[in-house]
Amino acid sequence: MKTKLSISLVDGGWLKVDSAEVVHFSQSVVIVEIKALKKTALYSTGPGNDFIHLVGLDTTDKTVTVGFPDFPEFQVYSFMISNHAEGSDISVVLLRSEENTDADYLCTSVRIGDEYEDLMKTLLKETIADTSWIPGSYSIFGEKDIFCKLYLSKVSGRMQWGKIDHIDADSQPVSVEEFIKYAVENFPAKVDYYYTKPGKLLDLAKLLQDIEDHTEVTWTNGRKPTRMDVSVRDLLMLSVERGTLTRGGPDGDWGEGDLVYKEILPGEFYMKAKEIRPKEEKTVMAVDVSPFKKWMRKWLPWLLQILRKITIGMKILMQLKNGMRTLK
Amino acid sequence: MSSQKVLDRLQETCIYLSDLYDSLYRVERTPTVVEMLRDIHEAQTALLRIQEGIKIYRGETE
Repeated sequence: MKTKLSISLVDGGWLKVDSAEVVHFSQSVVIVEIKALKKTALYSTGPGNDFIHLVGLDTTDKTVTVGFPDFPEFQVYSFMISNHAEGSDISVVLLRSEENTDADYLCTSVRIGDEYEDLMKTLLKETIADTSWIPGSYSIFGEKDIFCKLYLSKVSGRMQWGKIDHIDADSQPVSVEEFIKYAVENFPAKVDYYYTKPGKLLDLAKLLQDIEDHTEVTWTNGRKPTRMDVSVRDLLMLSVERGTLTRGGPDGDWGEGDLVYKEILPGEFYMKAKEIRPKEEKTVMAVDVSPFKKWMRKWLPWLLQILRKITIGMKILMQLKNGMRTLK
Repeated sequence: MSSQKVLDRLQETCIYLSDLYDSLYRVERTPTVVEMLRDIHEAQTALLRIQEGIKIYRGETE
Protein backbone atom coordinates (compact mmCIF):
# COMPACT_ATOMS: atom_id res chain seq x y z
CA MET A 1 0.00 0.00 0.00
CA LYS A 2 1.33 3.36 -0.91
CA THR A 3 -0.18 6.54 0.29
CA LYS A 4 1.20 9.94 -0.39
CA LEU A 5 1.73 12.08 2.64
CA SER A 6 1.76 15.78 2.66
CA ILE A 7 4.69 17.36 4.39
CA SER A 8 4.43 20.49 6.42
CA LEU A 9 7.47 22.61 6.26
CA VAL A 10 7.62 25.08 9.04
CA ASP A 11 9.46 28.36 8.80
CA GLY A 12 13.19 28.28 8.60
CA GLY A 13 14.38 25.29 10.44
CA TRP A 14 12.91 22.42 8.66
CA LEU A 15 14.10 19.76 6.45
CA LYS A 16 13.31 19.99 2.81
CA VAL A 17 11.63 16.82 1.89
CA ASP A 18 11.80 15.56 -1.62
CA SER A 19 9.17 12.97 -1.18
CA ALA A 20 7.39 11.14 1.53
CA GLU A 21 5.00 8.31 1.43
CA VAL A 22 3.61 5.54 3.48
CA VAL A 23 5.19 2.52 2.01
CA HIS A 24 3.63 0.01 4.29
CA PHE A 25 0.68 0.04 6.55
CA SER A 26 -0.78 -2.74 8.62
CA GLN A 27 -2.06 -3.47 12.09
CA SER A 28 1.47 -3.80 13.24
CA VAL A 29 3.36 -1.19 11.38
CA VAL A 30 3.26 1.98 9.43
CA ILE A 31 6.34 2.73 7.51
CA VAL A 32 6.76 6.19 6.22
CA GLU A 33 9.55 6.71 3.82
CA ILE A 34 10.87 10.18 3.45
CA LYS A 35 13.50 11.13 1.02
CA ALA A 36 15.24 14.19 2.19
CA LEU A 37 18.42 15.08 0.48
CA LYS A 38 18.69 18.68 1.52
CA LYS A 39 18.26 20.18 4.89
CA THR A 40 17.54 23.79 5.42
CA ALA A 41 18.45 24.99 8.87
CA LEU A 42 18.65 24.13 12.49
CA TYR A 43 15.81 23.17 14.64
CA SER A 44 15.82 21.84 18.12
CA THR A 45 13.03 21.40 20.53
CA GLY A 46 11.52 18.84 22.77
CA PRO A 47 13.05 16.99 25.66
CA GLY A 48 15.84 14.55 26.06
CA ASN A 49 19.11 13.67 24.54
CA ASP A 50 17.82 10.96 22.36
CA PHE A 51 19.15 10.42 18.99
CA ILE A 52 15.80 11.07 17.49
CA HIS A 53 12.54 12.07 18.93
CA LEU A 54 9.16 13.10 17.89
CA VAL A 55 8.89 16.65 18.99
CA GLY A 56 5.24 17.10 18.51
CA LEU A 57 2.02 15.47 17.63
CA ASP A 58 -0.99 17.45 16.67
CA THR A 59 -3.92 15.11 16.51
CA THR A 60 -6.30 17.71 15.22
CA ASP A 61 -3.91 18.62 12.51
CA LYS A 62 -2.72 15.03 12.17
CA THR A 63 0.79 16.22 12.03
CA VAL A 64 3.76 14.41 13.41
CA THR A 65 6.90 16.37 13.90
CA VAL A 66 10.22 14.64 13.96
CA GLY A 67 13.41 16.13 15.21
CA PHE A 68 16.98 14.93 15.42
CA PRO A 69 18.59 17.53 17.59
CA ASP A 70 21.48 15.71 19.09
CA PHE A 71 23.29 14.11 16.24
CA PRO A 72 23.87 16.79 13.67
CA GLU A 73 26.25 14.65 11.71
CA PHE A 74 23.56 12.36 10.49
CA GLN A 75 21.88 12.71 7.17
CA VAL A 76 18.42 11.36 6.97
CA TYR A 77 17.36 9.54 3.90
CA SER A 78 14.29 7.97 5.19
CA PHE A 79 12.69 7.00 8.37
CA MET A 80 9.91 4.82 9.44
CA ILE A 81 7.09 5.33 11.78
CA SER A 82 6.16 2.00 13.13
CA ASN A 83 3.63 0.75 15.51
CA HIS A 84 4.94 -2.50 16.74
CA ALA A 85 2.76 -3.38 19.64
CA GLU A 86 -0.80 -3.85 18.57
CA GLY A 87 -1.59 -0.28 17.79
CA SER A 88 -0.24 1.09 21.02
CA ASP A 89 3.12 2.66 20.50
CA ILE A 90 4.54 4.47 17.59
CA SER A 91 8.22 4.39 17.12
CA VAL A 92 10.33 6.25 14.69
CA VAL A 93 13.33 4.65 13.20
CA LEU A 94 15.87 6.78 11.55
CA LEU A 95 17.79 5.39 8.68
CA ARG A 96 20.98 7.18 8.09
CA SER A 97 23.76 7.07 5.60
CA GLU A 98 27.34 7.64 6.49
CA GLU A 99 27.92 9.12 3.10
CA ASN A 100 27.10 12.59 4.28
CA THR A 101 28.41 13.52 7.64
CA ASP A 102 27.93 17.23 7.38
CA ALA A 103 24.23 17.33 7.90
CA ASP A 104 22.79 19.83 10.26
CA TYR A 105 19.93 19.06 12.50
CA LEU A 106 17.23 17.41 10.59
CA CYS A 107 13.62 17.92 11.21
CA THR A 108 10.50 17.38 9.34
CA SER A 109 6.86 17.28 9.82
CA VAL A 110 4.74 14.55 8.41
CA ARG A 111 1.08 14.95 7.97
CA ILE A 112 -0.57 11.69 8.69
CA GLY A 113 -3.78 10.83 6.96
CA ASP A 114 -7.05 10.21 8.80
CA GLU A 115 -6.72 6.48 8.60
CA TYR A 116 -3.63 6.54 10.74
CA GLU A 117 -4.98 8.71 13.47
CA ASP A 118 -5.68 5.83 15.81
CA LEU A 119 -2.15 4.71 15.54
CA MET A 120 -0.84 8.01 16.71
CA LYS A 121 -1.82 7.61 20.34
CA THR A 122 1.54 7.03 21.82
CA LEU A 123 4.88 8.10 20.57
CA LEU A 124 7.81 5.95 21.39
CA LYS A 125 11.30 7.29 21.12
CA GLU A 126 13.91 5.08 19.61
CA THR A 127 17.58 5.64 19.84
CA ILE A 128 20.25 4.37 17.60
CA ALA A 129 23.66 3.19 18.57
CA ASP A 130 26.48 4.08 16.31
CA THR A 131 26.13 1.99 13.23
CA SER A 132 27.48 1.99 9.76
CA TRP A 133 25.14 1.60 6.94
CA ILE A 134 26.46 -0.51 4.20
CA PRO A 135 24.92 -1.67 0.95
CA GLY A 136 22.89 -4.81 1.25
CA SER A 137 19.63 -6.21 2.46
CA TYR A 138 18.20 -5.43 5.81
CA SER A 139 15.37 -7.08 7.59
CA ILE A 140 13.40 -4.87 9.87
CA PHE A 141 12.34 -6.55 13.03
CA GLY A 142 9.53 -5.44 15.26
CA GLU A 143 8.99 -6.38 18.83
CA LYS A 144 6.69 -9.19 17.95
CA ASP A 145 7.00 -9.62 14.28
CA ILE A 146 9.14 -9.19 11.28
CA PHE A 147 7.60 -6.70 9.05
CA CYS A 148 9.72 -5.73 6.14
CA LYS A 149 12.92 -5.92 4.26
CA LEU A 150 14.88 -3.01 3.01
CA TYR A 151 17.54 -2.86 0.46
CA LEU A 152 20.33 -0.38 0.68
CA SER A 153 22.38 0.34 -2.36
CA LYS A 154 24.91 2.85 -3.44
CA VAL A 155 23.93 4.85 -6.49
CA SER A 156 26.29 7.49 -7.81
CA GLY A 157 28.06 7.61 -4.50
CA ARG A 158 24.89 8.07 -2.56
CA MET A 159 23.24 5.55 -0.34
CA GLN A 160 19.70 4.83 -1.32
CA TRP A 161 17.08 2.72 0.23
CA GLY A 162 15.32 0.56 -2.22
CA LYS A 163 12.42 -1.77 -2.44
CA ILE A 164 10.61 -2.77 0.66
CA ASP A 165 9.10 -6.20 0.71
CA HIS A 166 6.56 -7.11 3.24
CA ILE A 167 7.21 -10.51 4.67
CA ASP A 168 4.49 -13.03 4.19
CA ALA A 169 1.87 -12.52 6.84
CA ASP A 170 1.59 -16.27 7.33
CA SER A 171 5.12 -16.59 8.56
CA GLN A 172 5.46 -17.21 12.27
CA PRO A 173 6.87 -14.18 13.99
CA VAL A 174 9.25 -14.46 16.87
CA SER A 175 10.50 -12.02 19.41
CA VAL A 176 14.14 -11.08 19.64
CA GLU A 177 14.42 -13.05 22.85
CA GLU A 178 12.94 -16.14 21.23
CA PHE A 179 15.26 -15.77 18.36
CA ILE A 180 18.30 -15.41 20.57
CA LYS A 181 17.25 -18.48 22.52
CA TYR A 182 17.02 -20.39 19.30
CA ALA A 183 20.33 -19.10 18.08
CA VAL A 184 22.08 -19.96 21.30
CA GLU A 185 20.59 -23.43 21.39
CA ASN A 186 21.31 -24.17 17.80
CA PHE A 187 24.62 -22.46 17.48
CA PRO A 188 26.23 -23.63 20.66
CA ALA A 189 29.48 -21.79 20.35
CA LYS A 190 29.68 -18.32 18.99
CA VAL A 191 28.75 -16.29 15.98
CA ASP A 192 30.99 -13.33 15.82
CA TYR A 193 30.45 -12.06 12.37
CA TYR A 194 27.68 -11.18 10.05
CA TYR A 195 28.45 -8.35 7.87
CA THR A 196 31.39 -6.82 6.17
CA LYS A 197 32.37 -3.25 6.38
CA PRO A 198 33.26 -1.22 3.32
CA GLY A 199 36.86 -1.73 2.45
CA LYS A 200 36.98 -5.21 3.80
CA LEU A 201 36.75 -8.17 1.54
CA LEU A 202 34.45 -10.89 2.56
CA ASP A 203 35.82 -14.35 2.47
CA LEU A 204 32.63 -16.06 1.51
CA ALA A 205 34.04 -19.56 1.49
CA LYS A 206 35.33 -19.07 4.99
CA LEU A 207 32.08 -17.60 6.14
CA LEU A 208 30.11 -20.52 4.79
CA GLN A 209 32.48 -22.93 6.41
CA ASP A 210 32.18 -21.14 9.72
CA ILE A 211 28.43 -21.21 9.50
CA GLU A 212 28.53 -24.89 8.64
CA ASP A 213 30.81 -25.52 11.58
CA HIS A 214 28.52 -23.58 13.90
CA THR A 215 31.61 -22.36 15.54
CA GLU A 216 30.91 -18.90 16.76
CA VAL A 217 27.77 -17.37 18.18
CA THR A 218 28.02 -14.36 20.38
CA TRP A 219 26.90 -10.77 20.62
CA THR A 220 29.11 -7.85 19.95
CA ASN A 221 28.31 -6.17 23.23
CA GLY A 222 28.92 -9.40 25.10
CA ARG A 223 25.44 -9.66 26.50
CA LYS A 224 22.02 -10.70 25.46
CA PRO A 225 20.03 -7.94 23.92
CA THR A 226 16.95 -6.97 25.84
CA ARG A 227 13.88 -5.18 24.67
CA MET A 228 15.63 -1.92 25.37
CA ASP A 229 18.28 -2.85 22.87
CA VAL A 230 15.75 -3.19 20.16
CA SER A 231 16.76 -0.02 18.53
CA VAL A 232 17.61 0.37 14.91
CA ARG A 233 20.67 -1.74 15.14
CA ASP A 234 18.66 -4.52 16.60
CA LEU A 235 15.81 -3.89 14.31
CA LEU A 236 18.01 -4.36 11.34
CA MET A 237 18.50 -8.01 11.60
CA LEU A 238 20.69 -9.94 9.38
CA SER A 239 18.84 -12.81 7.94
CA VAL A 240 20.69 -16.05 7.91
CA GLU A 241 19.36 -19.22 6.38
CA ARG A 242 20.55 -22.67 7.07
CA GLY A 243 21.87 -23.95 3.78
CA THR A 244 23.15 -21.97 0.91
CA LEU A 245 23.31 -18.25 0.58
CA THR A 246 20.15 -17.01 -0.97
CA ARG A 247 21.01 -13.48 -1.84
CA GLY A 248 24.03 -11.49 -2.70
CA GLY A 249 25.01 -7.90 -2.36
CA PRO A 250 23.59 -5.04 -4.39
CA ASP A 251 25.20 -6.35 -7.53
CA GLY A 252 23.97 -9.86 -6.94
CA ASP A 253 27.37 -11.05 -5.94
CA TRP A 254 29.28 -10.99 -2.74
CA GLY A 255 32.17 -8.74 -2.28
CA GLU A 256 33.52 -5.73 -0.55
CA GLY A 257 31.02 -3.97 1.63
CA ASP A 258 28.23 -6.38 0.95
CA LEU A 259 25.92 -7.42 3.64
CA VAL A 260 25.77 -11.05 4.45
CA TYR A 261 22.25 -12.17 3.99
CA LYS A 262 21.53 -15.70 4.82
CA GLU A 263 18.27 -16.92 6.23
CA ILE A 264 18.26 -19.64 8.82
CA LEU A 265 14.59 -20.29 8.63
CA PRO A 266 12.84 -17.91 6.30
CA GLY A 267 10.49 -15.57 8.03
CA GLU A 268 11.21 -16.92 11.46
CA PHE A 269 14.67 -16.44 12.75
CA TYR A 270 16.85 -13.52 12.21
CA MET A 271 20.28 -12.84 13.47
CA LYS A 272 21.79 -9.66 14.53
CA ALA A 273 24.01 -7.91 12.10
CA LYS A 274 27.62 -8.02 13.04
CA GLU A 275 30.95 -7.61 11.51
CA ILE A 276 32.64 -10.33 9.56
CA ARG A 277 35.95 -11.06 11.06
CA PRO A 278 38.52 -13.72 10.44
CA LYS A 279 38.07 -16.67 12.72
CA GLU A 280 41.35 -16.09 14.49
CA GLU A 281 40.08 -12.69 15.57
CA LYS A 282 36.93 -14.08 17.05
CA THR A 283 37.77 -13.16 20.60
CA VAL A 284 38.37 -9.57 19.68
CA MET A 285 35.10 -7.82 20.33
CA ALA A 286 36.14 -4.38 19.25
CA VAL A 287 39.04 -4.12 16.89
CA ASP A 288 41.09 -1.05 17.61
CA VAL A 289 41.90 0.45 14.25
CA SER A 290 44.37 3.27 14.14
CA PRO A 291 43.07 6.65 12.98
CA PHE A 292 45.50 6.60 10.08
CA LYS A 293 44.22 3.22 8.92
CA LYS A 294 40.70 4.53 9.23
CA TRP A 295 41.68 7.53 7.18
CA MET A 296 43.35 5.33 4.57
CA ARG A 297 40.34 3.11 4.35
CA LYS A 298 38.06 6.05 3.92
CA TRP A 299 40.01 8.23 1.54
CA LEU A 300 42.66 6.24 -0.26
CA PRO A 301 40.40 4.81 -2.98
CA TRP A 302 39.08 8.27 -3.70
CA LEU A 303 42.53 9.83 -3.71
CA LEU A 304 43.80 7.19 -6.08
CA GLN A 305 40.92 7.94 -8.37
CA ILE A 306 41.84 11.63 -8.36
CA LEU A 307 45.47 10.75 -8.96
CA ARG A 308 44.49 8.65 -11.94
CA LYS A 309 42.55 11.58 -13.35
CA ILE A 310 45.49 13.90 -12.86
CA THR A 311 47.85 11.41 -14.51
CA ILE A 312 45.58 11.10 -17.51
CA GLY A 313 45.27 14.88 -17.70
CA MET A 314 49.02 15.30 -17.60
CA LYS A 315 49.52 12.72 -20.33
CA ILE A 316 47.07 14.58 -22.54
CA LEU A 317 48.88 17.85 -21.86
CA MET A 318 52.23 16.30 -22.75
CA GLN A 319 50.82 14.94 -25.97
CA LEU A 320 49.40 18.35 -26.83
CA LYS A 321 52.76 19.91 -26.12
CA ASN A 322 54.53 17.40 -28.36
CA GLY A 323 51.93 17.95 -31.06
CA MET A 324 52.48 21.68 -30.93
CA ARG A 325 56.21 21.19 -31.22
CA THR A 326 55.75 18.97 -34.24
CA LEU A 327 53.54 21.56 -35.89
CA LYS A 328 56.15 24.23 -35.30
CA MET B 1 61.70 15.06 2.26
CA SER B 2 60.30 15.52 5.73
CA SER B 3 56.61 15.34 6.34
CA GLN B 4 56.65 18.98 7.34
CA LYS B 5 58.05 19.93 3.96
CA VAL B 6 55.39 17.87 2.24
CA LEU B 7 52.79 19.66 4.29
CA ASP B 8 54.26 23.02 3.33
CA ARG B 9 54.27 22.09 -0.33
CA LEU B 10 50.71 20.93 -0.12
CA GLN B 11 49.79 24.16 1.55
CA GLU B 12 51.46 26.16 -1.23
CA THR B 13 49.65 24.15 -3.85
CA CYS B 14 46.38 24.69 -2.02
CA ILE B 15 46.93 28.42 -2.06
CA TYR B 16 47.88 28.31 -5.73
CA LEU B 17 44.75 26.35 -6.55
CA SER B 18 42.70 28.72 -4.48
CA ASP B 19 44.01 31.70 -6.48
CA LEU B 20 43.40 29.82 -9.67
CA TYR B 21 39.88 29.08 -8.58
CA ASP B 22 39.24 32.71 -7.72
CA SER B 23 40.52 33.90 -11.09
CA LEU B 24 38.54 31.37 -12.97
CA TYR B 25 35.48 32.14 -10.94
CA ARG B 26 35.32 35.59 -12.50
CA VAL B 27 35.50 34.24 -16.02
CA GLU B 28 32.36 33.70 -18.05
CA ARG B 29 30.79 30.38 -17.11
CA THR B 30 31.07 28.10 -20.07
CA PRO B 31 30.65 24.38 -19.51
CA THR B 32 34.44 24.00 -19.72
CA VAL B 33 34.98 26.64 -17.07
CA VAL B 34 32.44 25.02 -14.82
CA GLU B 35 34.17 21.70 -15.27
CA MET B 36 37.52 23.25 -14.51
CA LEU B 37 36.16 24.88 -11.38
CA ARG B 38 34.85 21.54 -10.29
CA ASP B 39 38.19 19.89 -10.98
CA ILE B 40 40.07 22.53 -9.05
CA HIS B 41 37.74 22.13 -6.16
CA GLU B 42 38.20 18.40 -6.28
CA ALA B 43 41.97 18.79 -6.36
CA GLN B 44 41.81 21.16 -3.40
CA THR B 45 39.73 18.67 -1.48
CA ALA B 46 42.22 15.95 -2.35
CA LEU B 47 45.11 18.05 -1.10
CA LEU B 48 43.31 18.81 2.11
CA ARG B 49 42.62 15.13 2.58
CA ILE B 50 46.26 14.30 2.05
CA GLN B 51 47.25 16.98 4.55
CA GLU B 52 44.80 15.53 7.00
CA GLY B 53 46.24 12.04 6.42
CA ILE B 54 49.79 13.19 6.96
CA LYS B 55 48.84 14.95 10.15
CA ILE B 56 47.10 11.86 11.45
CA TYR B 57 50.08 9.75 10.47
CA ARG B 58 52.47 12.13 12.20
CA GLY B 59 50.34 12.13 15.30
CA GLU B 60 50.56 8.37 15.40
CA THR B 61 54.23 8.00 14.75
CA GLU B 62 55.49 10.76 16.98
